[in-house]
Parts: sequence; C-alpha cells; structure tokens
Amino acid sequence: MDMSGSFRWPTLIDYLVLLDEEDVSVGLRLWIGALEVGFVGVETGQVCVARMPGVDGRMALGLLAELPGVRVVPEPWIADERNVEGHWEGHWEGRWRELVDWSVWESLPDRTQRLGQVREELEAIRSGSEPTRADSGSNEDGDDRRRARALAAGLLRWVGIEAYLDGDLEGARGFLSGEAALLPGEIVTAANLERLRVRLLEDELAASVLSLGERR
Amino acid sequence: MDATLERTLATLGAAIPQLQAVVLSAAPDGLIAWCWTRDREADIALGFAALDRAAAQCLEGLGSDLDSRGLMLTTDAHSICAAPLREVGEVGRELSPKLVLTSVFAGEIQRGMVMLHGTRIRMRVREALDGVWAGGPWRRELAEFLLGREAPELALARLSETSGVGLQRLAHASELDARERESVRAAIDRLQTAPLLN
Repeated sequence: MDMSGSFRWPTLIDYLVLLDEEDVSVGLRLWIGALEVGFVGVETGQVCVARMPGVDGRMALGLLAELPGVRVVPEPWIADERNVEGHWEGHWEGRWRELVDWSVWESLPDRTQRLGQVREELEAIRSGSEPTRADSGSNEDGDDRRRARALAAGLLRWVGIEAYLDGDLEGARGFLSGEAALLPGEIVTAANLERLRVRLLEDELAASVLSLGERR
Repeated sequence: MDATLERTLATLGAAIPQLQAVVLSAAPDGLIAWCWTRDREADIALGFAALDRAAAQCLEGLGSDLDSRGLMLTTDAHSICAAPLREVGEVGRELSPKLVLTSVFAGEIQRGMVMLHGTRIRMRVREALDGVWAGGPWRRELAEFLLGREAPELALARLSETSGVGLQRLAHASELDARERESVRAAIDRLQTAPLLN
C-alpha cells in the first residue's frame, strides 16, 4: 500500500460508496494516528452499526463521516448488533438530511486512486479468512485490552481529580501516575502529572522557606 | 463518566455549530479533568488549563474570590468564556480548588450568545456529572485496587468477568447498584487473596 506522497487516504464515504454495491459484511475501524476514533459495521451494503467514544448510531456515523485526516481500516466482520436504521446516505429529521455534502466528496482529489485502493482492500477481505466473531481472535483480544485500558485510565483520572479537589495532592499524584502508566505518550495525562509535581514542589519550597524564616 | 460527558457534548456540539472545545479543569493548578474538542485535538486543552491557572494566580494576587470568577477572552476569530462549574463557594477558603468549565467558540458570535451558550453548556455538564458524581469512596476503592495491580487493565477486565458486571459499567463505578457493588467487592477480595490463581 502506497502511503507516500500527496495521495489522500480513502475516506469513510469512499468505503461506503463501494460497499453499497457489494454483498459483503465488513467492519471499518477508524484511526487518527495511533488513536482509534470509531467503528462502522456494514452488512450487505448497509451501515448497521456506528460507534465512537460516547456516541452511537446515526449521530456517531455523522460525526465520523466528517472527521478529517481519518485512516479507515477494513476488517472481516459479522453483524451482531444494529444501531443505525434506514439508508446510510441520509435520514429524515423534519427534512431529508444527507450524511455528507456530495459536491464536496466529488471534488476531493485522487478519487480514482482512492477508490482503487478501497477495491483492492475489499477484494483481499473477500478472498481472505473467514469472518471472525467479535468475541474471538487475537486481534479482538487486543481491542478488548485497549478498551479496558482506556476505561481504567479514565477511572484513575477522575479519582485523581477528586482527590485533588479534596486537597489530597499526594493521593492525586498516585492516581494520575497510574493513569500515565496506562497511557504513555498521552499529552494531557502527562501535562496533568507534571503540573501536580510542580505544585507539590512549590508547596515544599514554600514550607521550607517558611521554616527557615521561623528559625532566624 | 467520560462516556456520559462525551454524549452530552456530542448533542451540544450538534446544536451549537460554533462550539469548538469544552474543557473541564481543576483550579487553581489547571489539571484537566476532561475535555472535548470538535476535531479531537486534545492538545489545545493544555492552553486553556494554563489560562485557568493564570487566572487563579491573578485573582489570588488581588485577594479576590476564586469561586465567583468569570473569564472572557475574545479575538476576531474566537470567543472563550470560563466560569466555575458551580457558583456556590465555601466562605473563607478563597483558594479552595474548584472545577472550572471553559467553552471555546469559533467564528462570528455575539458576546451575549457566548454567555448564553456558556451557561447552557455549564448546566448540561453539571447535570451529566451530578448523575455520576455520587459514590466517591466506592470509586476510590476500585481505583486503589487497580493501582495495586501490575496490569490494571487486565485486573479491570478480570474483575468484570468475575463479578459479572460489564466493563463499561464497572469503570463508571458510581452507577452500580448495591448488589452489583457487593459482587464486585467479593471479586476484589477473591483476586486479592488468591493472586496466584488469577
């Protein structure tokens, strides 16, 4: 797969357009860098599942379709739930609402290349291994672990913030360190921990200056 | 907790097209409790946390009350407003750390609308948090258990398996009912007393 040069990655819509004509079930995992931002499940051309952190269904589909710079990775998939009804291209909400502005999609550069790549990827999936159930396979194990890691990190952050709000700075540092260990390289987490360290240091300095003053 | 807030903001983000980011930070040090940005670039939250911190320092220098502060910053392209998540303050503890909500709007938007939207967002976030904020000691107990494990994510998954409480529900500890907490507590005990078997 050529990822060099000015070539743009195929968009979610590119996949949906091509899958629309296909009698195949495919899961589309969406990434921004190393961060998984969402999942769209397509069965016989129709989107039946869309989810991103905290949002499900059509709203998730709408948000995912508009995310810029997303890399879509297709995988074998079997539909095991449904949270999107109707046709993926749009839905009624008082009036007909299109999922995307088609004139924008049509004006994107490198369409032939993008669609060519999507076709190749889908062909590989069709001729490849049998679809796997969501609860089996080593790849899904990795997903489960990633999800558990994100949830555990989220819990530790909140408890850390609560400890901080209660004035327990040492406790807060413990929980935020735990969060940082789970999410190495996550910038907000690292920044929080750094801020807290500085605060503890400042307090320590202030205390020792104070005690020096008292001794004189 | 994160998922609840994400859901709230997804709705608000759809209703207020100018809304660019929302940051919940803990004053006075500007620790980021949670943030939402339209383009999912969490990095910009760092700047707003710094703003929160700077505001706290300015007001501290003035001897002013942090609990009642509000902050408004505007340029041609952006409007930013920040205010405590809750206005009611504890008397006599001016520097008591508090949660501050910062809302960022892009594009042309009237000052009055910034205030109005800002308040609306604050109310909604407050509501969303109220539902999950209870049960602090229990949440802490769970977090302490995870902290003591070599791989907290595996411990959480194992706990979910042993107690029969779903992973997501388990991580949003406050939403559990008494019976679920009991079975999670039993699972914690089992994992702690027989670590080699698990």
